[in-house]
Amino acid sequence: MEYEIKVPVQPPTELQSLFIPIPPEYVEEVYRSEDFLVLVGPQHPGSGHMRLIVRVHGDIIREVIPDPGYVHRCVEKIAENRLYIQNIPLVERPSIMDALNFNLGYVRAIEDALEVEVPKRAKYIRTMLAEICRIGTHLYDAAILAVFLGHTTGFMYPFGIRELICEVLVRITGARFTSSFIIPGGVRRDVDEQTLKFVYETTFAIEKRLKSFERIFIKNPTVIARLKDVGVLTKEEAIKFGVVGPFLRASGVEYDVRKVEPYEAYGELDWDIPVADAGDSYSRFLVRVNEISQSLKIVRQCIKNMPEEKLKDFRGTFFDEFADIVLPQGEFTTLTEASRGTLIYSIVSDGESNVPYRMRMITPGWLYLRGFMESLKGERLADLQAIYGSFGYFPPEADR
Amino acid sequence: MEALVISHQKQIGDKMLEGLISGLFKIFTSNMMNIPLIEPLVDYLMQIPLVNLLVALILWRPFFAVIILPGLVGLLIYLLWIVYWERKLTARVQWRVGPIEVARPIRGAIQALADGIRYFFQEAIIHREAHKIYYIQLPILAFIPILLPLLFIPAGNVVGIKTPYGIQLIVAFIALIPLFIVAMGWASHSRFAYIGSLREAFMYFAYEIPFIIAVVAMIYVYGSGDPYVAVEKQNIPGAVLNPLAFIVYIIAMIMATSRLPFEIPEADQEIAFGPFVEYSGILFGLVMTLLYEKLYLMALLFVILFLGGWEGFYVGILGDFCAPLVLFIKTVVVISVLVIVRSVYARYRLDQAIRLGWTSYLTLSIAALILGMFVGVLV
Amino acid sequence: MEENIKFLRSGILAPIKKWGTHWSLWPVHLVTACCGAELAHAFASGYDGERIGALNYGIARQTNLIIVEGAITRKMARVLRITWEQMPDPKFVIIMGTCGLNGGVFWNSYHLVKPFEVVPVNYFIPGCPSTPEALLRGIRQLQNEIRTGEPRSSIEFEKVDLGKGKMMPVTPKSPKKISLAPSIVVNVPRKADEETKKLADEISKLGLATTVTGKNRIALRVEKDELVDAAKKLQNFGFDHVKNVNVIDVPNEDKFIVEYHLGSYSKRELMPVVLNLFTELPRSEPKLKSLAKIFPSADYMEREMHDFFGVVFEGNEWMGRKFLLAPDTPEYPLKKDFKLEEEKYLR
Repeated sequence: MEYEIKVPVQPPTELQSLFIPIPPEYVEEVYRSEDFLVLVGPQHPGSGHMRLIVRVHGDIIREVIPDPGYVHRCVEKIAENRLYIQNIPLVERPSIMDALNFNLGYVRAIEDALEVEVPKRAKYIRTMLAEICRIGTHLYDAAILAVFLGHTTGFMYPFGIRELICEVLVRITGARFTSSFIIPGGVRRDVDEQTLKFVYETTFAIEKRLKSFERIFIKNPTVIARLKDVGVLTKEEAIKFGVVGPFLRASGVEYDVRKVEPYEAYGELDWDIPVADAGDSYSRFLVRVNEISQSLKIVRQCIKNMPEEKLKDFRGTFFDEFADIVLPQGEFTTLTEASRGTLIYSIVSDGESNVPYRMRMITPGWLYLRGFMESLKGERLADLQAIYGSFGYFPPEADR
Repeated sequence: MEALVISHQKQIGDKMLEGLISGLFKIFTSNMMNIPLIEPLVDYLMQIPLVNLLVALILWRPFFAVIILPGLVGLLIYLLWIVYWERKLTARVQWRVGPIEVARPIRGAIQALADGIRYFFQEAIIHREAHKIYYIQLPILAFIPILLPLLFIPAGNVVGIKTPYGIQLIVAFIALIPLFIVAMGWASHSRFAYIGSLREAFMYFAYEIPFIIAVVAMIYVYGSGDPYVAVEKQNIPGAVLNPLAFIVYIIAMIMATSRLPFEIPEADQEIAFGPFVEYSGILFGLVMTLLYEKLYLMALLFVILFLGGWEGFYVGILGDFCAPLVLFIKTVVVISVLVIVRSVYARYRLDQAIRLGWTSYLTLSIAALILGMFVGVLV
Repeated sequence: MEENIKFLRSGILAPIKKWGTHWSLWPVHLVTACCGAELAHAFASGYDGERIGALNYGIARQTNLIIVEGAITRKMARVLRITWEQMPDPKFVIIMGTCGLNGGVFWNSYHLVKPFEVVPVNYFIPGCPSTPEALLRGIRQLQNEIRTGEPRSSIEFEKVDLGKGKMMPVTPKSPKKISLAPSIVVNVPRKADEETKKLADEISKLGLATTVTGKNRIALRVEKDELVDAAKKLQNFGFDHVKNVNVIDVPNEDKFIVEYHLGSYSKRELMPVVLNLFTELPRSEPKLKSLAKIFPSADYMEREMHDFFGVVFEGNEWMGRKFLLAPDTPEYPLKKDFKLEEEKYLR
């Protein structure tokens, strides 16, 4: 039997002074119905650059309203105001650990419009770089997941491994994160044999270190207890809410842009798509862990099968050669499998200007935000961070 | 005439003061520590008036037990050590070096001191919504249940209050600490503090009963709640006599002091330090160390119950000081080993921890109780 | 009170206080933009900021340093200010990355503010993103400032005399060529493979006019009122989610083009296809029926487009409220009438 406690409940006054995108009636309604509003973020140890308005009933989450846009830096509007090639550094800023995938997608849209043929060696280098970034991003997300579960060692190990990734990127492109290395028609410059050898050896070093990460975090009983059967998205739900990338594959949909619409060298290499059926947080995490090993495989294949060819060095002449690109009239849409999922660039050109008329950029984070919010319903408040980490939600990427 | 009265009164006053001093001196000297190492120094200082009172006070056994070792000074040394050690050990596990630049020759060992000083001098904010009086009071009041058990923890013949119910009293006072934490969360009047307080209360139910049962099991083993009897009977350490209670007690120590994997009330990524969310400056310094102090008390009891207490080595030259030292070293070693869980485990969820507490953990503790009864008959 | 503060700052205990603050600069966990990745590197195994006593810690009340990681948006500026005010004294601010300094790549963005207008700043760290070395160096500089009391820059730049050197004869022209009367056609037919053509024909049989705009790309134009029907038909055909909702503003033809890019996860042959379902709206009355009920995946993107263009998707419950943008942002910033600041070329 339940006893009713008759205490007049008043919505807290502190909510009035804050800007939150929910009306005061909603707040009042929540407090009349014995629920509790918890505002998580943006300054919260377990939240990124966003606010989640969580309505909890006891310990159970009833509804989550996202408040994104804390890192909205207007990439789309700025892109309309710059030359096509000036947008290359711009589009990789939203997700800097995944910069080369973002770079690649944009460049492919231009190449698609201009129907440029890319040298085969450049294609292999691009694939290799994209996969290195994928490893780096998955490690970054694993680290964030670990720290959200309170496992600081699980945070430090991937970042230790990421230093190797950064080193590889520095040797190839010259920058730790944002290198703008991929340009229409190829890459900025060739990669020499010695560097390729270093990258090849580094893949084994990463693999070795991943084993200790596996021991301490992936197979840790506390981690499994926290992630298993938490935040389940069934296959139907995942499709309905348009979840993308590894999170879609964790729900049992075998969809990977690299397989369904192969670009660059992916069609010529031997690799698998890791898929899981459970759709819970742990399988979302495991799919990405398995993707790391697939990516390592791809990187090694790329280096082994790298065609011998002389690539043009664009250093010094880059602006003169590319400043005056004018795309033909029409709309050009490319799909790219970035680390966190499908990345869509849709460039609309009027056929006369050398700036895009409209550049639409849909990042994976923005696409799976809805699925993320739905998977939180019915879970416990403590699981908010576990699910957040399992999605690897990175607000700068989602907000653009 | 008046001058005479005043001088007479003064004489009486002087006499009373003298009597008081000599009386106190008598009390202190009657129960003084005997440390051969510093005996010449003590002898010399005892000849100086007033200084001798001070020396006698320090070496007075009840005072020494509560204030010096294993009491407050020991607690302070332990705090500085354990915060540093925990950070350093975690760093070592995590392919890092940890704090070092603050004092390079001693590997950064005074990092905790620097943090403490920074907290001490920082602004202590009392926010608008807090219940001001309780908000400031509670971190200070929380020292009562920390200090009271120290009265009853003996180290050899250095003891605050000697009582045959020492163990029960220590457990009773340790059990008070969560009340203060819950009250702090209430006084903070913040939504995360509120959730944190609730979690603290739930966790309290999860560990307290198995913890008490484990202690009772050991009381059965020794047949008495007297720490002296407990230590006396440990020719074989208590850990071997009742390994189940030993395990239960270790888990209780981790749960009760919010260590990972049971760092649920404070869970900084989930509810931002729970009850302590609003505390800043010296007040946060106080509440942050609260759980470390609790861990110290529980580890002291742990050493007495399971690891032979102050029985260890005996160095003649240290005399009475030897027992507190052994107890302190054992305690610090136990805790230093225990803090490694922080770098190995992730955090459990509240319901998982409670389920664990009420099922397997409670069963284990009851098994420990039954085993304790049998062993108690044998020993 | 004043005296007490003065005593703290310069009294007998001041050196001890300075020493403590010096070795215990704890940055608060306030992640503001993408430089956060490098901040994490600076405090992780590779660089280990804990060496110098800086420990990245939970919330504002227990820390004394804010590291602003790059761009501060209008929404985040408020949070930054609140965090700064929550922090107990003494408090410091380090700004990381070029975005905080002068905007960086986003210098003419409509949603960005300068962080030094929001909070007082102690140090700026250049770089996009700044490397962990640079960040740790910034913290070291702050430590030096606390110890010695005088701020010092870690780099001394050479002074450049702008009067010297050769001057360009004329101000250089902007390389940008922008058409004054752009004609926007979304469904320009392009050559494609047989399979796409076949699929386009199949979709045409549903009574919808299709254009093949590339390999696996099909455009489909419908009237405004037919949009919901067409979407339902396509859903039955096998398209199950929306990849993209896009609005193109064409002021010289006085119209909005609203696009829904549909995709499919459940039918294997439809997986690579992106179907562009688009319609046109008059600019004066930008209203159409929302597809969020049919495709829930379109919901957030419709809200976003409402923020950007003011297009009203009837049936989406979030209309009339800001979702992505701060309340003080200029109205409908992605419309072509809203101009960003242009680059200036100097002679």
